[in-house]
This record gives sequence, structure tokens and C-alpha cells, in this order.
Amino acid sequence: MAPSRMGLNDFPDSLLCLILTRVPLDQAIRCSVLSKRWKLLWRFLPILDFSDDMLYSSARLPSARLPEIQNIIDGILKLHSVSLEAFDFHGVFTSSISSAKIDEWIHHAALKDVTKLRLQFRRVVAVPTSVFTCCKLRSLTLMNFSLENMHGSFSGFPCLVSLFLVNIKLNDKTLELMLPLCPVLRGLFVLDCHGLQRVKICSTSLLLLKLDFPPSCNEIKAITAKCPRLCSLTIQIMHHVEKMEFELPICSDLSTTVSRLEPFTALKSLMKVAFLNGIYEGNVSNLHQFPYLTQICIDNARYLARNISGAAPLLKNLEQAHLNVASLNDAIPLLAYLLQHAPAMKTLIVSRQQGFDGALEFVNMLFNLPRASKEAKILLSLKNFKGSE
Amino acid sequence: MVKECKVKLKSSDDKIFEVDYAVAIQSQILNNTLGHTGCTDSALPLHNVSSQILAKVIDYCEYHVNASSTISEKDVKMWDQEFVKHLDQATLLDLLMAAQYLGIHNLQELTCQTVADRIKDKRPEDIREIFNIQNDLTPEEEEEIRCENEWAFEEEVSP
Repeated sequence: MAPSRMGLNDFPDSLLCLILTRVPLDQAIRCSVLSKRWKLLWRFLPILDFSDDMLYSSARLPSARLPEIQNIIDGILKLHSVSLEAFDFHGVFTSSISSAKIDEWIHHAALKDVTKLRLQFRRVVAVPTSVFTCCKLRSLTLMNFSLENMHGSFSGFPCLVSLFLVNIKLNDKTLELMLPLCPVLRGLFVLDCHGLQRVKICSTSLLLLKLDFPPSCNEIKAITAKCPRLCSLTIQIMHHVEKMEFELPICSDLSTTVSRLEPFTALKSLMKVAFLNGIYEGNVSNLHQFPYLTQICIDNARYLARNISGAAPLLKNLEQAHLNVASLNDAIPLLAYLLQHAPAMKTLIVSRQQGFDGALEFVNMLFNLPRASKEAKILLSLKNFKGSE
Repeated sequence: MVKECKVKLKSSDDKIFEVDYAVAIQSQILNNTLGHTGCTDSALPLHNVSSQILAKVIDYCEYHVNASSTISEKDVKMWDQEFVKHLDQATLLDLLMAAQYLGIHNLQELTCQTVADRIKDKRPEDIREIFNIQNDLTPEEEEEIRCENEWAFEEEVSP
């Protein structure tokens, strides 16, 4: 007995709300005239997304409307009932709303046990204090703020799992104070932030850490991270940092623009490494210091090692290497080294974005290099030339 | 370690479908059931899913079991769009219900977004017609709702 074909009206409320969260807010509200049943549905939307494209369906917000937005959002929040899962507030219109009002709205969201908060204002201001009252937060994204002081009575985010700080004016003390107040934090992303000098990340819960500093940032003097559970570390910084210390006993994944190995030698559990800015010479022959290394990726190899000492021990577990190189001929010593020192090598991928002359000679040279692994397969991805063997 | 066994599924209209274990466990419900019972020869009854819909669900799951590792994200997205593009409303809604019932998260996301896309930018009258919704509001009630959130209805004025 087949169930009769379903109409939208047969769906449970929760599923209808799920659909409504995917249309701009004004259209979701417009659906309240569809029928009696739809009248109040929008008030149970688990996600309130106040952002430019979700608040108004029309492509551009008419500037005449901006003063009214404040009342509109006020109205929406007053009528909206149930607990909130996510509250997203970013866009052009934020510049026309007073900080006090925004603070009030976030406080409203806090009372609704909001679990996901995303804020991005047009102008850089201090983080609204009501953010610190959202104690049920599991995910917090702050963009374009200054976070130089913590509210005195802030007792922490006991449920916070992910924290994204993007383009924030920070200082060392605030970051250091914040982490112990987030006891279950698993992912920390500090992107394009400035004001930090001695970055200190200590967390017993952190699994994922990404530090991506803007190219203009040159004030950082030290970076230390002490996270016993960290599995994945990404550090992108352009200028030289004097002191980098990492106590990350189980970290298996590293991705960095730093071209030296020294700061990472304590990471004995590394399995996958990506050097996004190439790797210095002396360092290649020290790769064996990572006994579990199975995968290495060297990108944008400006500092491509050429005179590599061949006397180093073998890279016993290395199975895959991916080199994205600027100059193919300069890459030969490195490729030769990897092929000779990796008895477990399965795949060696060489790629280059631009085309070049002499592809065939290079390919011949490459395929004739002695290999420690009988199974090693070489894949080439060069513009206008694809080959494998 | 991937189990090699086959799983039998029975639709609401008693048709039997056989799929690989890896395909079946994309459904959270089936994943849990198979975790308890293991691979058996008897067919798992899916009372709420007709054979027509189950066939489509299996199509989706069979593509996606391999997609994550071998096919580029862009191609997967294109396939997904093709998959939903020509579905009539009834089938689309049935698929969404089935995806939710079976706990297939990415299919639920896909069908949910597709329904939302079909609602977007349409006037209420059109939405009612497409999805067969009876308007049981009196004109006064409808007017009251429009006044309450005047700003949301303003764009409708243009023809």
C-alpha cells in the first residue's frame, strides 16, 4: 500500500521551517499569508539571518529603507518566539543602526539560548557586551571588531566549540584570558588579526588551530602553542618570527608558510605536512626527524632546495609527495632526493601552473631518476601537458 | 574495513531493492539498524517510502558513495543539480520526506534547498498553486497579516 503523494501541507512544521530558513527573511514572512497553518510558521524559524542578501530579496537594499530597518528588525525579534539556533548579523545596513540597539538584539538572542552567532559590522567597533551573555553559544564568528578588553564579569562560554576571529584588533592578554574560559573549544581560527605580539595558545580541548596573519603584520615576536589534543595546525605568516615553540604531542597535520623545519621538530606525530612557501635547503635532509611522515606537499616553492645532502636516513613511511613548482629544472634535485629516500613511495605528483619549454627533456630526466620504491608512480600536471607513468 | 555484503530493502509497495552495504549506510537509520543486526538475508522494510522514490534515493546514494574520494566537488554539484532539475513537485517533496525519514543528510539538504529555490521570488498566489496549498484565510485575516509586516509585502506592488 503506497502512501498517498505528499503535498507541502503534509510536512511537519519543523521541515517547513527548515525550508523557510533557506529563503530571504522577507519572503519567509510573506509566506505567512499562504494559509492559516503558515501564518505563524516564520516565528519558529530556528535561524535568523539578518544579512544583506537574506533580509531583502531585491539585489540591493534601497538606501531609503535603511532607517526603517531598525524598526523592522525590532518587530521581527519581538514577534519571534522560540529558541534560536543561529543569529547572523552582517551587512551594509549595520552602519545605520545604533550600537545600543544591536546590543539589545543580541541580548534578545542570548535570552533565546542562541547557539550560533555571526556578527560583522560595517565599521570597526568594540564587540557588543551582550555577546558575552550568550552563554549557550557553540559557535561564534566575529569579523571587523576590536576585542581588547574582556568584560569584567564574563564567566566564559561553557559550550563553545568553534571560535572564528577575523580581522579583529586583539591583544595578547585578551586572547590568553579567553581560552581557559572556553573549556570545550575544539577549533580556533585567528585570521587577519592585528595587535598581537606574543601569541600564546594554551588549551586542553583544542583539536584544530589556524593562525593566518596578514602580510602587513610584522609585530609578532613569538608564537607558542601548548595543546595536548591538537591534531591539526595551520600557521601562515610572512615575516620571520624569532621564537616559535610548539608543544603538540599528537599533532598529525601541519600546513605552514614557514619554510624552516626547526620550529616544528617537536611535532613527532606529524603525518601530513604542507609547506606552502617552499622549504629551505638544510631542512629537506632533516625530514626523517618525523618518523610517521606519510604525505608531504611543497607549494609555491620559492626556496627550493638544491644542494641536498644525500647522506640522510630514509623517509620510511613517505607514500605521497606533491610538488607545485615554479621552475621545473630547479626541482630536479628535490625530486631526486625524494625518490631515492622514500622506499614506500606510491605517488609523486609534480605540477606547475604555467607552461614552459623543454617539457619533454624534463619528463625524460624525471622518469629516469633512480627510485627506492618499485611501486612509485609519477604523475605530472603541467599546463598543456599531462602525463603519468 | 568496508563490509562487502549486500543489503535488501523493501519499499512500502513490497518491491525489493538490493544495494551495497556502503550505499545503505549513507542513511543514518539504516546505519544504526545494520550496526545492531549486521548483514542479514531478510529485507529491511521501509514503510514510508514507495518503490518509485526508493529507486531515486538509491540512485543518489550510489553516486555519492564514490563521489567524495574520486570526483571533484564541482562535478558532484553539477550532478546534484541535474538530479533535482526535472523533478515534479510531488516527487521532490516525496524525496525530501524520504531523505528526512531515512536520515540522509546531504540529500535532505539538496531537496530542501531545491524546494526553497522554487518558493523564492514567487508571489503567495503562485506558491499556493505550485504546492497545492488551500488558502483558508479570510480576506480580513490576510489583510491583517499583511499590515503586521508591511515592509515584507511592499515589493508585490509592482506587476
